[in-house]
Amino acid sequence: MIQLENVCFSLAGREILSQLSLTVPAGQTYVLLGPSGCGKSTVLRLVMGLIRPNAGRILIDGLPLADTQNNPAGPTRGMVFQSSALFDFLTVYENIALGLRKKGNLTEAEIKERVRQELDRVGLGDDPDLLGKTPAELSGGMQKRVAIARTLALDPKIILYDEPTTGLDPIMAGLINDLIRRVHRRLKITSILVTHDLNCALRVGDEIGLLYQGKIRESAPARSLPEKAGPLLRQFLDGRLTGPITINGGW
Amino acid sequence: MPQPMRIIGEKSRSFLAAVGEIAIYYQASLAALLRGELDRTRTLWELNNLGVNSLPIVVIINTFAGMVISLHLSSSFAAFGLTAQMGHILTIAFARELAPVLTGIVVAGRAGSAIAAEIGAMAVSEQIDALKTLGIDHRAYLIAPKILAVFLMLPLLIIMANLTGLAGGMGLAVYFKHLTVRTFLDSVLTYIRPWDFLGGITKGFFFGLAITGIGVYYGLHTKYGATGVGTAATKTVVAGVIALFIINFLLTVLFY
Repeated sequence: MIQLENVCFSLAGREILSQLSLTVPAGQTYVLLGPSGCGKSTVLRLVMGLIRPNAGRILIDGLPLADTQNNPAGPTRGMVFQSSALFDFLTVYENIALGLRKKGNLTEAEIKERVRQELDRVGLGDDPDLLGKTPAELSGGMQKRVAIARTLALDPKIILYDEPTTGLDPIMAGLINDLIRRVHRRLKITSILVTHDLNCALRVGDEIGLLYQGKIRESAPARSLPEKAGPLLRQFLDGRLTGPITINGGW
Repeated sequence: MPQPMRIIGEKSRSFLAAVGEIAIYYQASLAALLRGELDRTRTLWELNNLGVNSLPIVVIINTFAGMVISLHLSSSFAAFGLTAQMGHILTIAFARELAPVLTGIVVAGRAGSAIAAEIGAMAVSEQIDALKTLGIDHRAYLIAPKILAVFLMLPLLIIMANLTGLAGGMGLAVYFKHLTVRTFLDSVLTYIRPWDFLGGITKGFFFGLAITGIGVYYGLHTKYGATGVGTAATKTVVAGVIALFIINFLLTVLFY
């Protein structure tokens, strides 16, 4: 379970998050929608421990975030970045193996087998040459899937996704959505997913919330949308210029 | 507080913060080295990339610098009948100053900018954050091999710079100014002390630390995409060369 309690975060004097509170039950996927620049990615970076809040608490399974870091068994949280963030000086194999080697309890043969399993899981197990390729030789969709495989390889209980389908064609985006959904159901992963892709939000999310002016202003179960959307979510889903969200008001 | 004083205060504070941050990179690198956490493959790669690959340019620059200095010295010394002292003066100039400074400038331009650009590109494409999410200390995995590589390779490059610079100088004196090899070498061996060379080589360790520290600092602070990467590389070269000359002055006062 992920809990944010009255979290505040400012950057260069600008308040990004203001008393933000959010709870994601174990095994659920929470989709965070919101205008560009409203602080969605900041929420992920806070939960990942990449930045620290100015005030408030972040709890993972009831424990303060700091107590869950530096886990000797490896990270319990993983993140899939908007840009995939594959290491361009390493091959696909080395990208996935890097975190596994850090855990230190696997032989090279076991790591090789594990890399193959993870690539199979994301639908990339068929290409025998893939392991030796560098990220620059892969399409955007393949990079995203390798990034997901790299994250899954560490058996995280929590995965954070930053716009996983941005820049992909609709078919590839659908494939990524199905992959996330399928993996989460099978492995009971808790996650927060940031996206602008409404199709992705509705297909993958259990709960959808709208972040605006530093707080979650509305949230609703994904299956109840769009019918039961509040005025903010409705405007966002419809893409209307007029409504409670003003262009100068939040970003 | 008056505006100029406030600006000076802010600049001083950010300078000291930068120096402190760079000191943390050194401390983390040393800790990684002592704990045996350095990635061997990456360290070897950096030794080759930042050190060995700088060798051709170091050799070319120092050979020609040696020839030019020799050309000037031979003309001036001939007027005073001091041609036999050429080897001594050329060696003092090269061993103490020219070889370390010229090599330091080459490494600041080539390796320093490469370090800033690589780390900067990784920072803006979230690769540094990705390393952290995998539980990998980016300082041990990424930064320490670079610092260690330049720290070790720069003194070796200075040794090569001495050899090639003096060879170039001697070659010119022998073939164009008709000095004998024996006269040249006698002048070198009679007056030169080991510390003339060792002091210059020791400077390389300090230059290496400064160049990599500055490159890593600007790389990790890169923002705003490709423009930011270019800016980080430029700032590294400028700050690196300035730091190099200041450190060189201080070490020269201390050593000689």
